[in-house]
Amino acid sequence: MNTQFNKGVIEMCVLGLVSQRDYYGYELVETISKRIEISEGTIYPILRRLTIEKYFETYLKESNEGPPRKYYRMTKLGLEETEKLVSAWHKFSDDVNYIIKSGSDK
Amino acid sequence: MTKQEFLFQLRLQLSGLPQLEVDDIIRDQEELIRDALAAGRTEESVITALGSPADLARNLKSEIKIEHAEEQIKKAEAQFTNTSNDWSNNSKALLSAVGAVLVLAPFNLIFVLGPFLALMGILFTGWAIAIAMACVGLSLLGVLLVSIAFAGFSPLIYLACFFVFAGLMFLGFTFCGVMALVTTLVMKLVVKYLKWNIKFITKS
Repeated sequence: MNTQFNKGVIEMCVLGLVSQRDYYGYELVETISKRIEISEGTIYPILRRLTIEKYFETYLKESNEGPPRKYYRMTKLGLEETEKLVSAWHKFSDDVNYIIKSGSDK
Repeated sequence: MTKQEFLFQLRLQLSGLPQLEVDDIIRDQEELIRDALAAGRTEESVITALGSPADLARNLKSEIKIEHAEEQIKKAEAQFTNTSNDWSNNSKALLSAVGAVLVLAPFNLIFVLGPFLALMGILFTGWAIAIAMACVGLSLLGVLLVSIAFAGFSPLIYLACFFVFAGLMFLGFTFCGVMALVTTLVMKLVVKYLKWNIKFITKS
């Protein structure tokens, strides 16, 4: 993936995913990796920060294959902030697409 | 680096954080590595993908410091809007916020501590002058009242002195009132500046 877009975009992907349902860490890595190439190291600091900022709360769920897994669930605050962020992102990408398109219509 | 080495190094680098927090982070990393291995990745490629333990630890620690500073600032703000006359709580909250922000970056010593100390110096001087004026005026009035009984100056001189000393005293009190307003304003501005400082740090 073009690393210039990297930081804020991965965070938004994480927020977008967790706003729909609960996820555990590696699940997020796998899901995002299907479309965007990311490394395991990128996801964890983002998850930790968003949890500290109270956008996420975490809980442990027993697993058959080994020790319990930590799941991330979005809080009300997280939902509000994600909504704002996603709107801003839509507008931003619309603007960028418009500029690129209108620039090439010569 | 093996998984064990990585986790050992990470634990080392995270020292300084509360034990519970360190254990939590290590637990999370172990889960991540375990899941990656179960999905077919090699240990070497996963450990490489996680980056150096030192970088990861630094990253995680700074997030915590930033969150702590933001919390202190929120507390200071809440303090000012709720009980705007509770001086001791206001100043405690403000000092905690300044302290938390100072810790965030080395250059904050110049950009936060320096100006803050200078401002405190100016405020202190203002208060000192205001209080001195009020006290001096008050004391002189006291001396005047006493001397009416014992000395024998003309009433005109007493009247003149009375107005001067009373004037000085009331000027002092007024100045105190002004300093109170100025101090509250300065505290609010400091909080705003601290917020801006954090935004600046987290962007870079």
